[in-house]
This record gives sequence, structure tokens and C-alpha cells, in this order.
Amino acid sequence: MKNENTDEKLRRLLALKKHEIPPPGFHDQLSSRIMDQIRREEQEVGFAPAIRRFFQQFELTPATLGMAGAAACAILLVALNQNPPQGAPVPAPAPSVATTTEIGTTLGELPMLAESPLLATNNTHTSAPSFLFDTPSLQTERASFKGE
Amino acid sequence: MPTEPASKEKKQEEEGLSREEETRLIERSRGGDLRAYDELVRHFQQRVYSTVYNMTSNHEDAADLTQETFVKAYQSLKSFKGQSGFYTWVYRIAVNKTINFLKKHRKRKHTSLNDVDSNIERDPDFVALVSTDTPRRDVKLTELQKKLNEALQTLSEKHRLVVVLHDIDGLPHEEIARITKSNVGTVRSRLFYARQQLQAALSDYLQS
Repeated sequence: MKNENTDEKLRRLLALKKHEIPPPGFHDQLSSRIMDQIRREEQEVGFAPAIRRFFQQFELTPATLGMAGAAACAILLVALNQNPPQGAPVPAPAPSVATTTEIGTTLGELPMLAESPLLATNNTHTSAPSFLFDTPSLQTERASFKGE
Repeated sequence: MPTEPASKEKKQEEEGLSREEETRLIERSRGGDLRAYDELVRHFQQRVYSTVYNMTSNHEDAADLTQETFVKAYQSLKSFKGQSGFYTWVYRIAVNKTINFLKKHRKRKHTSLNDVDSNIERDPDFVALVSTDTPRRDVKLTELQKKLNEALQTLSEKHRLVVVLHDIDGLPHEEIARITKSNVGTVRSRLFYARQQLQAALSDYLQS
């Protein structure tokens, strides 16, 4: 009995919320806003219906974003785990420090240094100038076994 | 501060719309007749706005959500089969949009309350509340409004929804069950639980 009484009082109290009303003229403005948005969206749909319909299928929710992220990770992992095709040349690592030869080449391209004996090396530049690193070369002779 | 109700809008709301008229307007709207759809919007927007406002306690959010609801309803008119009334169908869209919105902005507790219309002074429920011998005899309208909204915001979205639809909008349990796509028993139990919570929050106003 007491509960019913309290329920009824509560219902009456809550019913007072019906008296909360928006500013005058609000509903007229609202329906105009609704119609404007519908017209605007119809125009947009007219421009790119296929693209719009495609993206309308996806509502950005945490679940869809998570699924998209998981799919991207899966594709990346599969791509990384793929064996390189057999017989494919292994690319040489790029040198991190320029070699003496390369420096020589670069300097040799400068006009004032091109004539310098310091840079007088052959075009292939496979070795450093001999006078810079004058190390005695080992004289070797083919062994012969006369007794045989 | 009480304000006068917009009588023109009130009249529009009170003017009935027969089932035949509703069906005719829907058919015309499906064919792209925006004037017909405008008529439907004007007929239902006030009730939809009111429900969304009571759920959010925020005028700007309620206005945006009501707008989104009617735009979405127009775009989905082809999927409206007419098994339920247009009102129930639009309400369902509004309710889903509002619940999704509230879940997304759960941490935000910003209220923007509407004015209370001057008719409340003549409302027998309000007169009874301020004239009975209660601890809140000196009740101030703005304070009461604030307390009511705060109490509603303490409820979960699902519990708040049934209270708003039943105790404020006056919908029967069966209609609420159709809108929320649940059964009548669930509606009743949610209503019972929500009222218990509200009684605790508003005990100062309920003691006799």
C-alpha cells in the first residue's frame, strides 16, 4: 500500500518533466533543418552514389575498427612470412661508409684535382694508388720438382 | 524561468493524423515528395524530441539526435513495411540513436535544460507537491527540475528509457516492448528497478 503510494507520487513527480519545453519556434526551425539536410544529402548522393553507398555500409564502431586493424595485421604477417622466390638475387647491402676508391672517384671528378698525381688511378678504381700504400709485394716462383 | 508554450506547435501536435492520412503521406514521401515528409515530421517531431531530451537532459544533443532520426527515417522509408505504426518505427530509430549516443558519451555529464512552461503552476501534481506538508514544501521549480534530471541521469540507459517512455511519455508497457524489441516482463522489471533507484534519489520529495 505504501509502495503504491510512493510509486504514484514518483509518477506525478516525473510527469512534471512534461513542462520542460524548448525555446518558442524551435520545432519550426527543426523541421526546416531536417528538410535542408535531406535535400543536401540527396544532392551528395546524386554526385557520387556508388562511393557513398559503399561507405554507408560501414559504421565506424570500435568493433569494426578493431576488425579492420586485425585484418591489416594479418595481411602484413602473411606478407612477411612469404618465402622469397627461388633463384632471386639477394641484393647487396648498401655500404654505409664510402670506400677509398669511391672517394677517389668523387674527388677525381673535380677539375682542379683531376690532374693531381694523388688521384692518378685507373678508371676501374679497383685498387688504391701504389705509392700511397707501398707495401713490398711477395715474389713467388712456381716450384719445380726436377727429380720427377 | 517559466515561459509561455508555443501554442502553434502545441496545436500541430494535438491535431490527429488518421491511419489513412499517415499511409498516404508515407507513400508520397517514398516517392520523394518532401512536402509530405515535412508534414509527417511536424506531426511527430515534438514527441520524439521530448523523449530524446528526457533521456539526455541536454537540449542541443536532443535537437541533433531528433534531426538525425528523421533524416535516417527518410533514407530508410523503403524498408518500412508498415507492420508497426510509423510512430513506433521512428521512435525505435530515435531510441537506438540515443542509446548509442549516450554509450559513446558516457563520461560527459553536461546538461542543458529547457525552460519550464508557465502551465506547471496550474498542474495539479505540482500544486499537490508544493502544498502538502512535506519537507520540500518550499520547493523551488528550478531546483526540482535540476534534481529530477540528475536523478534520471543516475539510471542506466535501459532503465532510464522505460521510465521516460512510461512515466513521462505515458506509453503502455506493450508499446514500450515493441519499441525496445523486448518483452513486457522485461519492461515491467526494468521499470520496477528504475523506480526503486529514483525513489532513493528523490526521497526528499516523496516523503509525506
